[in-house]
Amino acid sequence: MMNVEELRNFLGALKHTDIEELRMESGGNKIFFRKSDVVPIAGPKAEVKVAVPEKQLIPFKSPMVGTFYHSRSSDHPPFVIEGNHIVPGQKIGIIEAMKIIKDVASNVKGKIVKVCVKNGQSVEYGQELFVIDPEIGIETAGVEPGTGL
Amino acid sequence: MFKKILIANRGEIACRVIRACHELGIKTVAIHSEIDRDSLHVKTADESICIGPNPAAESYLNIPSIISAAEISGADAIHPGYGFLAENTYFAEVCESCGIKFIGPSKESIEKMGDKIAARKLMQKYGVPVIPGSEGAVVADDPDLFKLAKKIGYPIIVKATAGGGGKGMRVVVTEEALKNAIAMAQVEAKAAFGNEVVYIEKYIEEPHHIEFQILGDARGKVVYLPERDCSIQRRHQKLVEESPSPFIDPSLRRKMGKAARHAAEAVNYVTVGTVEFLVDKYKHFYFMEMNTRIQVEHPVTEMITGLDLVKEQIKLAAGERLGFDSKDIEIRCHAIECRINAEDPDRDFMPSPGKVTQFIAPGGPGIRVDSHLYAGYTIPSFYDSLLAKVIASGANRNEAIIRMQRALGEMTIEGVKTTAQLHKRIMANDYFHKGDVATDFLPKYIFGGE
Repeated sequence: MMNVEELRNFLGALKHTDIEELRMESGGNKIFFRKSDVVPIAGPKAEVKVAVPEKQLIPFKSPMVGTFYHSRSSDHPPFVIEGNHIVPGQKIGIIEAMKIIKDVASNVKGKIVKVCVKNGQSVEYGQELFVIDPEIGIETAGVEPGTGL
Repeated sequence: MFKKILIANRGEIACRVIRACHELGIKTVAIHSEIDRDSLHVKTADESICIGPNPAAESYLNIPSIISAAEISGADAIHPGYGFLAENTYFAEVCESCGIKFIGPSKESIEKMGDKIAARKLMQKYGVPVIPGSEGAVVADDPDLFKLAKKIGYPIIVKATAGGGGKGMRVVVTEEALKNAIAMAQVEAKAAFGNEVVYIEKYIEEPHHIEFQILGDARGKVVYLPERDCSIQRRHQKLVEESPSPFIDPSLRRKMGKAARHAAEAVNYVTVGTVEFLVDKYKHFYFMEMNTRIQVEHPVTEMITGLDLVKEQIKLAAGERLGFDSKDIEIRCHAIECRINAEDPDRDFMPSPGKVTQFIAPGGPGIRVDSHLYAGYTIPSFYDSLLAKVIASGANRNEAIIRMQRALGEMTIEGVKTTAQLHKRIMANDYFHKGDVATDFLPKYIFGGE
């Protein structure tokens, strides 16, 4: 079995490979290695996972019945697309009813995760138009790899 | 004929209209508020659209939302049912300007009959008897007051022009009490309606509320059907209706029917409507008002004539001609309707919304139930309390009463309080059996002078 020095070198070498998981048995000693951004704290078999908190996604519902449009006209780009960040009061669509155009404005800050309706689709009152990620609480969890937030 | 009709209503009448459309091969669009998502009319229509939040003002009375729903669904006509926007001239106008047919009379007909004072004048012009009264407002120190009152004949009732619900009213039996009654009524009217204008009318003693269903086509032909007696009321709300009226003989029926027809012709009425009269104990009849819509109690007339009034209404709105005359209509049976409301009679008829845990509708010969109830349905608190209409018909009035008693006994509604028990009492009442039914029936014979 490796001594601590050898083990440290061994683990260090593994880190730079794309091996995700490794189990090793040698003469009654077992080593279990799994790549994670989290530091394991107990024996060889221990693995600690920090739960990613459930995202609180907010459905954005239609304030009225009519025909939903993503953009001002077919010559214009959509007001928002998936991935866009929005702020309260920002125009995210328009609904036409009885030849009157009504602006649809966001009431939250966040990111458009899903666009639920097509351009020119008839919508009823309360129908889900967008799903928005308000992006709260990420700072406290601190576990999202690579988000850069 | 229309391809698709949007029903701008809810509850039992929406279900009724959807049924007529299905029989006519017309597609149906139900509109609903959020809380009505599980309502029966939404389940039975071909399509449904949620048009707003629960309050009626933001949903069933919300004209832009309703028109928008008609546009996106491609409906070519809107049926307004009764209540809500059924007699709203602005709504009729908006439908017209959007190229959607409003299934009802023209906005002019609605307007002419909506203004009570103007309607009175129009009726007089067309020879329809109206309740004798003042031409307009009266005041206590009017020099011609006593002359006018004498001409009308005592007893006289002082009424508020802006009024309703029994407020701002005073009955005057002798000349001495008249000035004071006017003053008191004015004070009450000012407090209740912010408008102290009052007028006077002959007070009809023990009136019977008798109404005539009429149909009119686009060519000006109007037909009247046998009368309905709606005298059993509580606070001016009808509870029980029947046809024919035990108070009306064939000769009076002909006279009143003709008057009803003239009333409808006076406003060029198309589709279906009802002319209401008050009849005194001497069998003098007087025009009260015209209801320019399909009414709650229309099934009673359907039972005795065999007609489908909602189908007729749709066909007339589509421009079809009336294919029959009044004389072609036979009275085939006697029919009675009981309106079952979600109200607690033991607590002054307090509304009783909630979840209906069990609903067993009565059935068998001569029984019809118009309802939107089902077990598991939650009655919302935002709208009216009508749960079901139970209609019983029989070869004669007696059989109709017995069948209604049977039906009320069979009917089970659990989970909410209803007025079924009150109807059982009415059906068991001796005076009701005798046909002694005027608008004071309930306080006199059931509530014992309340």
